[in-house]
Amino acid sequence: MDKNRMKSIIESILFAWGEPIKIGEISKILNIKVSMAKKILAEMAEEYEAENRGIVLKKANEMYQLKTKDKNFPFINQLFKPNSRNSLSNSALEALSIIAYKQPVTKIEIDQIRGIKSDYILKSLIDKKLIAIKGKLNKPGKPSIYGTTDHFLAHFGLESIDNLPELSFEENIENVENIMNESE
Amino acid sequence: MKYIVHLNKFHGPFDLLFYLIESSEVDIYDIPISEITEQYIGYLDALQELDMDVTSEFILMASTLLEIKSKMLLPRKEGSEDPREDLVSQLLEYKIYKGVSETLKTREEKEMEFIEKPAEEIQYDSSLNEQLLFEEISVYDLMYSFQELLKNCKDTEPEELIFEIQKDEFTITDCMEIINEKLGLLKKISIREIVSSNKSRKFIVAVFLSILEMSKLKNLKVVQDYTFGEIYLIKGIA
Repeated sequence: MDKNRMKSIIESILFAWGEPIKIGEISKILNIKVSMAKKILAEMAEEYEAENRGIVLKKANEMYQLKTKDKNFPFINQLFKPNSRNSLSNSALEALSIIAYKQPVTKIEIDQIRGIKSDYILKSLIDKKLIAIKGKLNKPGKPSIYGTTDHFLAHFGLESIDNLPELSFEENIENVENIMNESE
Repeated sequence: MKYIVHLNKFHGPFDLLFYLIESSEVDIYDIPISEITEQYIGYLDALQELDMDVTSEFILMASTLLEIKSKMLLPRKEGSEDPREDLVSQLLEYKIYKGVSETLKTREEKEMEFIEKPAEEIQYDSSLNEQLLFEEISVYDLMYSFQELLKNCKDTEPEELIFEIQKDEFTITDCMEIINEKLGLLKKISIREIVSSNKSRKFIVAVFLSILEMSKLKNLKVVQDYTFGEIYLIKGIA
């Protein structure tokens, strides 16, 4: 199959599917190697960057998804009713941050850091596919351990988990400075 | 009229504590514990006055603060741990993730400017893939097979069955009481005599079931003098 034909098929798949789709799925449909599919998708992503295109190809780990260009948002936004899009609550974001940086992590650890129970929040994050139970800890009670998913990466526009913003330890640095000043 | 307001401004005791520390502009490593505790408890009181939910986690924190406060009042040995140390390290850890969650929030907002569309609900009928062959089939063939179908339908169509579920007029417990009462008076009684007062089918069934139940519990003995003869109930020993 010629490359342009494959690009055309992949574009149709991504458009119809809408949500993030695994590269393995695409390569299976086209009956090509994953590395080949990756190469084609990378080329496509580059082509979408052209000034006259309104779509971008988003990558989150192994998942690919078509979205509209953020530059065009003010124009598309005129079609939407205000508040028709829902973002995560602050509590959910808090729990999600802890999971993202400490994964695999148990509910108890999350509760301890937040100082409040997180059962309900974890359930809704699982429903939203942003986190998943990654296994059970071999400890009394067999607690579940949680981790983030590729959907999480897609939701925050991260290509991989390594792209998470770095934790800020400025407080701790300040502390060290204070101690040093005192000792002077 | 009473208003109940649920305000989730602070999503946890650390969040509230953090807010108090920041707004009173004190050093997190040297928290004036008495002052902060007072503010914290004052806030909880205000919440309760407004009839808002104060969850146990918030109250737990209040007691932790009070514990630290009382420890601060006691003289400490040189070099011993500051009673606030645990709280401060917890607060600092919380602060890190609170900071991260704010970063994630801005990322989320930015990411939402890329608009996605939901997946298409594409379904296809897999049977359409099998080609239909109409060769050599006449209208009469169709009529014939239709008639066959109708005939089969009649044969297999079940009659409409309607059952009425009736309420238990007599419970087994009730009947057991009746039997017990009668046995208490007469010591020996035939089943016929028990059901003589009410010959309805439901009552007879209930009585029969209670006799089985009572004999199982050894509350009574069932005797019969000869085959097909009267069945008598005798009060059990138990």
